[in-house]
Amino acid sequence: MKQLVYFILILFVFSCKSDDEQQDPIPLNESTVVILNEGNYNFGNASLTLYNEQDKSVNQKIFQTNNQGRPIGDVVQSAIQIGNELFVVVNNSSKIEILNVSNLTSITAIQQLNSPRYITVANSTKAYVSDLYEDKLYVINPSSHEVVKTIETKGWIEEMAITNGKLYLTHVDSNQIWIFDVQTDTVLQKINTHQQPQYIEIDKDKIAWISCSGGLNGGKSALYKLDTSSDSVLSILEGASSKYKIGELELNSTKDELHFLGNDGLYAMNVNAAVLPNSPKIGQGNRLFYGFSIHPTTNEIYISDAIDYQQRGVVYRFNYSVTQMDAFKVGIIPGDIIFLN
Amino acid sequence: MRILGTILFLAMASNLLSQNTISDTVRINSVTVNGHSKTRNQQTLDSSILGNPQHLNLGDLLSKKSHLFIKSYGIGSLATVSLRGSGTAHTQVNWNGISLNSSMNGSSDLALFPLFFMDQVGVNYGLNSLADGTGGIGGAVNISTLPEFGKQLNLFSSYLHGSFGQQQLNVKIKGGGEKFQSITKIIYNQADNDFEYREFTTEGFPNNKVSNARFLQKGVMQKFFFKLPKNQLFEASLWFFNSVRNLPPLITLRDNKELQEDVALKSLVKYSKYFKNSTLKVTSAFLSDELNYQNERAGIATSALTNSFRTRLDYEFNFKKIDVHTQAKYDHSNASADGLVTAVNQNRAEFFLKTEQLITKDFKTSLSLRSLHVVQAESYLLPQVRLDYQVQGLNLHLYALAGKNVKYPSLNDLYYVPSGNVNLKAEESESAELGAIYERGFANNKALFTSSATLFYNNIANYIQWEPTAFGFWRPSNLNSVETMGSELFIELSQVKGKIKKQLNATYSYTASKNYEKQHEFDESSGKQLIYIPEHKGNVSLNMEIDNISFAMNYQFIGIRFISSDNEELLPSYSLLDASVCKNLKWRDKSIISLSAGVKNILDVEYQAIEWRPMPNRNYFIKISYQFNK
Repeated sequence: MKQLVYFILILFVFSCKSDDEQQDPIPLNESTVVILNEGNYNFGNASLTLYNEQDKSVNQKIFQTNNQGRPIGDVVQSAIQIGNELFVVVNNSSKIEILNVSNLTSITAIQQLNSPRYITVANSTKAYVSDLYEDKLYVINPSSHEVVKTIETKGWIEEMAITNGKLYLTHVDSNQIWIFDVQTDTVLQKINTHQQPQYIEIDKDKIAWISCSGGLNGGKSALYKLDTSSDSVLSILEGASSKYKIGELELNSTKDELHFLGNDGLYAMNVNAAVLPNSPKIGQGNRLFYGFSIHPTTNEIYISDAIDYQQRGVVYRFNYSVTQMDAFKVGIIPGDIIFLN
Repeated sequence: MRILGTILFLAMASNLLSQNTISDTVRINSVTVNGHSKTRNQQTLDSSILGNPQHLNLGDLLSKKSHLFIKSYGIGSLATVSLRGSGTAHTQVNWNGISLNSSMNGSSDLALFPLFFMDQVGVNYGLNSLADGTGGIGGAVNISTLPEFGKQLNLFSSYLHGSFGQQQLNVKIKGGGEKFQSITKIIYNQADNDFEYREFTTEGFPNNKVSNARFLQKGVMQKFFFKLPKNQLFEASLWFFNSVRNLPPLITLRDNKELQEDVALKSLVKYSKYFKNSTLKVTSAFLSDELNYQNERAGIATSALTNSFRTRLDYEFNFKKIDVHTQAKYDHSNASADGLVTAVNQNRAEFFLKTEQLITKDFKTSLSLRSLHVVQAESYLLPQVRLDYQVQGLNLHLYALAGKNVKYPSLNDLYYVPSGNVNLKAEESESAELGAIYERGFANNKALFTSSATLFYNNIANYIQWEPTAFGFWRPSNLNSVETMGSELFIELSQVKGKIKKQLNATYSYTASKNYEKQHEFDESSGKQLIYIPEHKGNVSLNMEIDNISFAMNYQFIGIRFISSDNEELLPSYSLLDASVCKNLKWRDKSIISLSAGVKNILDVEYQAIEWRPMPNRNYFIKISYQFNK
């Protein structure tokens, strides 16, 4: 019996653990970049990284640090700043965390969504949230932080854009662009596309650019150019082969040069170009480009590299003439990059 | 500090009982050089350990009693295995010599193997798994059902009630005579699994209950053994198992309301003929595995069906003092699933030749060659050499072995839509192992000390890894060349003294499993430990039997596990202590009633085996069983 008591005592000694230390929230300055680290699906290891453009300092896991050690969740998909609040879409945690942009502390969260993907804003009291599984579009009030209503969409919706009083959404499951009246939330038109339309941008002439990945069965990628005044397709630019991929889209600050992520790097083309570019503006090499953003005023390009999807990734910062200005480690699977203002 | 503590503890715990102890239940790396006995590197766990209610299923047992690391997603949830730092699909699970690994994903979920169906469980480490087939780069787990001839009728029934709504009912009916045996086993197992955990995603970390974690398992096994004239034995087994598991969500996400149903039908026939100097065995099996998955939140419902016909022929004989083992295997698998465009087939054959020869009375050599032929694909030749030496007068056995193994890609690796990769190469390993085994009896052999130490090295080329892509799906590729190396230690002390039996055993393994490829200057994974493979793992078990009372205690230590390939993120180590006591009562000569009670996770450790998946704190069970023998 004495032996048993020793046994248990020893185990207790080696099983002691210290309490987590808590820190005061780290404040943000005026030139802050937030990197959304998606993390692995179903691993719960998403995080936010802060990057100071001026002194190039980096703060990892800023949400966890500034919110009493609480992790942000599973798969940080996208984020958008609305006023003084940052709305962070945490896809697999079914929520939108609403953060104070001054220190990224949580104000509240819109919970009980299904699988939210992106937010686009109509005005201070109306924004749309797309969803992967819900078969609906959420309409939220960004001021009251509430879901106001839902709109039947029957399928997976990805990126959206608003112009000319109309909402353009990429309807992945039906391979269509759906156009809604923002006032009435009724469907005005549906336009067929190539397989899997996912990203959309509106250029300086209010032309909508939509990229289609080509689907999972080896279809060709394509870029649709849509006139938003007449809602007619102006042109379709198709990849030369199924290996030519067109993914995420971004426009520069003057909205006259379109950038997209291809299978071997970051491509760029003038919005008046009639053909797709042949070679990337920034080659990928051994890196694994996963997302990118262009600074709305400086035109600096930030590209994220997921490396092997299992370690902390890297973000490369280039000026517009693609000279690398910095590279810094971030979190696991860095995706979108947000410039706070 | 924890590691140091554990090593210290192992040493102290060993000393506690070094004065006395025995038992014949666990043997590891027992090598016999003399005579014509087989050489083996196997850890064997028999029914006395399998029957302990502390162990929920095969994964739970092996986690506590062997060098295997089990990556468990929770009680009754998916339990995958890693042996010697290798991947999930690198451990073969064999049932009476027939592989049970899924043709679809190449691996086995050990939570779906009820211990009540097994009479013996063995682990063949590393190259030793090649005796039964390719693919076990880490090793193989062998589960056996054994005959027991003799005129008898044996009825057994048990009921276990545990925390979190666990209920387990087992029934066994065994009968027959000297030439025929019939064994029927039935199991029913369910649990709500609604244990409490701290909600780390909510401010203040309030307590919450795990949701959507209920499981229900039902199964039946029927075995027939026929002893035929002229030293022939025929056996037929049927194994049906149905498991319905709700899959609990991560702490960090909303309940997906996921559900997985597995339906397995395994049938096996085996014929053995024992000649004067040779043995012939023919084993054939038909395996059918159906998996249905539902995700209510995503509106997903998928199913997959795999049918496999697997057969092997073994002929062993002695030729001019050389033991020869020949083997031929054929495997046909057919899979249809929502993730496959059409049903896919894979046919493969293996041939094996092994010779063992005593060079002197202390020195033995063993040479073997196995070939794998995948129809309309590649062929592989896998040589192996082994040397055994017994140091006379010291009860010390030394051995060394080296050889190659191969793991051919699974059907999912090759054909899964949209990302299967038909250009994948097979994973090929080159391995070497050195070992020493020491055994010594004391007190007229009523006490026994056994110990072993092993060093191993393994290089796996064309390591297959599934990775997400920027275009929304996962894809397998031959990414890394991975090196694993380490050591395994085992100590056992056992003693019988009057009516008192004691046994103490301890295992410790050190595993370094590393990738040495570097993508570019920012890739910090090179030379780092692979994720979810602990460098340090240890177990200590103590079993005591005094008259009709038995006591069992098991301590388990799992070291830190890195969860990012640059080793910047990790899960802390944890220690678990389980204990149980059992009292046997005789009733009317032919009946025995057993009462058991136990506590798991006595130290009430809060831990996560997988990040953000809570595991149960301290919990309890009681069990009553009735046995009738005639």
